[in-house]
Amino acid sequence: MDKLNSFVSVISLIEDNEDTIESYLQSLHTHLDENFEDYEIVLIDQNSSQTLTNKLEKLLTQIPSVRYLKLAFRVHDDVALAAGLENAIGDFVVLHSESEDPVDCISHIVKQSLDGFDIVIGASTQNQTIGYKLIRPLIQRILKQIGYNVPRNATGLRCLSRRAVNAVTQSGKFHHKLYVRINNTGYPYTVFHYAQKNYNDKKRTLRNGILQGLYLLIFNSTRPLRWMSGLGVFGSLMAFSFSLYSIVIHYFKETVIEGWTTMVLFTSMLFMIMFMILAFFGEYLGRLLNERNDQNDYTVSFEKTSSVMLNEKRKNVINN
Amino acid sequence: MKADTDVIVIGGGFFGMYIAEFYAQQGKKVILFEKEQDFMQHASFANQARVHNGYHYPRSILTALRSRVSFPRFVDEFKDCIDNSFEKYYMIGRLLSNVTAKQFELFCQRIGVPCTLASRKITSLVNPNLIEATFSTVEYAFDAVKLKLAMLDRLEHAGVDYRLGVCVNKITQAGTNLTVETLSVANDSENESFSANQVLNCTYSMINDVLTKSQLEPVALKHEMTEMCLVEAPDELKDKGITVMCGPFFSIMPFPSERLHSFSHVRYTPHFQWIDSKDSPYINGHNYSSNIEKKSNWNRMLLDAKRYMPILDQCQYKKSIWEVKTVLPRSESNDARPILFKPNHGLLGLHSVMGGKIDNVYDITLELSKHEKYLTSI
Ligand SMILES: Cc1cc2nc3c(=O)[nH]c(=O)nc-3n(C[C@H](O)[C@H](O)[C@H](O)COP(=O)(O)OP(=O)(O)OC[C@H]3O[C@@H](n4cnc5c(N)ncnc54)[C@H](O)[C@@H]3O)c2cc1C
Repeated sequence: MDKLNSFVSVISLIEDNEDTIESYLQSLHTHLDENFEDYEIVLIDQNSSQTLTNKLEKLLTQIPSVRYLKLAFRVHDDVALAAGLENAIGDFVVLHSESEDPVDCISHIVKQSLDGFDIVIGASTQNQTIGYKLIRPLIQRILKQIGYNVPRNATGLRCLSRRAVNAVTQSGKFHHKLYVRINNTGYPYTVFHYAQKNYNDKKRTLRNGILQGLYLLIFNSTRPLRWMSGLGVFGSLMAFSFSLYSIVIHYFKETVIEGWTTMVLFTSMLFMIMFMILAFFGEYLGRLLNERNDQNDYTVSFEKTSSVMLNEKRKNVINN
Repeated sequence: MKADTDVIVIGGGFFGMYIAEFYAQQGKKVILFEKEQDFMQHASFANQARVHNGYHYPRSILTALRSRVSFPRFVDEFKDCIDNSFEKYYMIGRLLSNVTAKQFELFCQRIGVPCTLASRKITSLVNPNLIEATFSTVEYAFDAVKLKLAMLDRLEHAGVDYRLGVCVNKITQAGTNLTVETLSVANDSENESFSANQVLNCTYSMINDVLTKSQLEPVALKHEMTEMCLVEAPDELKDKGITVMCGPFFSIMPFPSERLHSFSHVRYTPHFQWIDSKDSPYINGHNYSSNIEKKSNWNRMLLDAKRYMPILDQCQYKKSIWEVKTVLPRSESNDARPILFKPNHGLLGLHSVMGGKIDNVYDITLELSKHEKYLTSI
């Protein structure tokens, strides 16, 4: 099979798993070596254990073309991937996950990208849990509102052309908005269907679906703030009509006691609404503060690269 | 017993030549051995040709200041070998950089080197997302071939007896003198031995080769198999040199001896690194570099660098030069003081010296003068 003449960068977050890292890197290396002329494996380490770091440093002397970036502190996975995207040099960049994506989908997704799609989005062919299935359409609807139109069953796997990488990384502060920015470059995109690894594990559950949806919402749009303001207006209208009602009732009924249940109900509802609003305000305020802060979204504490002994030429030179 | 000569210098790189002349000028009888058929064929040729002016060492003020002092001296001593006709820019990387633009500017002020914000002409060529700032600076390049010819002229003038194509194989103590056994490279049955009061081991990446062959303890040295690319720069960059600081970045600079630009990259220039130690088998750097399969990293250097400056895509790759670069392991974390000076290492009268950059030669001769007492006949 002919090797593809494009430089591919594979970005992967290190999952604190000492037992699998070696075989993962080996299989990545074998797969990439078989399919591409040249490539790099960019490993992002979110401050994993020292034993894993030591292990990786040893692997750097055995497996070529690995770049190992250690982040100074833990950040959201999207930010860590964004760090990889910003530092990758490839013509094509693949966001890959050790525990979710099989290694051989890399060459397929890159080939699909070579067919003229700047962005290829991975989508799993498996079924999700019932909870997730129920909530997903709702979340999808909401996300559509903020411009994140992601195909059904989308996973974290992506392949981006250099042009798309540049568009994403040059769009200002993108670290927390990685996946939405990838979707919104305006370049042609397509979907790559594949079977995920370890399918029945954690990821696609109701809880995760909601958390992910909220994360995307909060970091990508101020629309929820509007919704909350709307809710606030509604709440105050209710409060206003209730006070009117209590005044009116005061004149027409003698036994005020009667309204007690409604009052309790209303006040507690209003309190609930108020707290929801406060929670969102808190979230946004935090975000504003983060944005205002000059601190980087991530800090790389070091980068190490493979140093593998080079092959000596075969000694078959004929001496005349 | 009287020795054949006062001083034997091993290694005809820039350091060996300079030191041979240094002793000859003091009236000593000097023999210089170089295993290649010509001088300065290794590190003294295959390097970036930068005459350091301090900019490179924002993490080690001391080294920077020393460079700052050597710079005018070197430029003056080797006027005819210096290319000062280009504009030099230092850019500060935004990601992965160990230094910020502000820190760099402050550092330049502190060591007293020119550093001003560059004009639009150059900043319009860079990607502001990856480059925080671009400074216009003053730094020169040397022409390694002219330098070789100038040094050869000086050797002749000083009366140094030099032998090309002769490899030093072993050094042993013979009373108060040292015996140096040599091999002719062209014909390995031709061996000779010489005696001398002092032997200077100026073989750079091969320092431990000479030492281990003489059954002496090796010095802790780190080696890198490096690749530097030579390119034809695009017109806009022909009269410019650019270095991105301070991390895994690239540098493109005029390479006067070939009328090209050298292109190197902190991440991709070193292909493999190793440390000489007693526990692992010794790697002969020169043999290793001529035996390995040389798969160029040019593509990677370019892919990375053109993210910073898209115009670099127009560089035309010509060739790569491969060489073993040797550094002291301890200077890794802060780039400090890159010279090795090991007087009487293993044998009385055997001194191993190495400089991390060309103008370190002044630090070495200073050390040699300081130790004059026990470097002269014992
Ligand atoms: C990629 C790279 C980039 C660099 N960039 C710069 C830069 O920009 N500016 C700067 O100032 N410095 C730079 N340096 C460092 C600089 O090149 C060295 O500091 C300098 O050349 C060392 O000179 P030398 O004479 O000690 O070594 P060499 O020039 O290597 O000389 C050693 C000589 O010893 C000979 N030899 C070895 N063993 C024996 C033996 N047994 N018998 C006889 N002869 C022997 C070798 O053939 C060789 O000629 C760079 C180095 C490298 C590798």
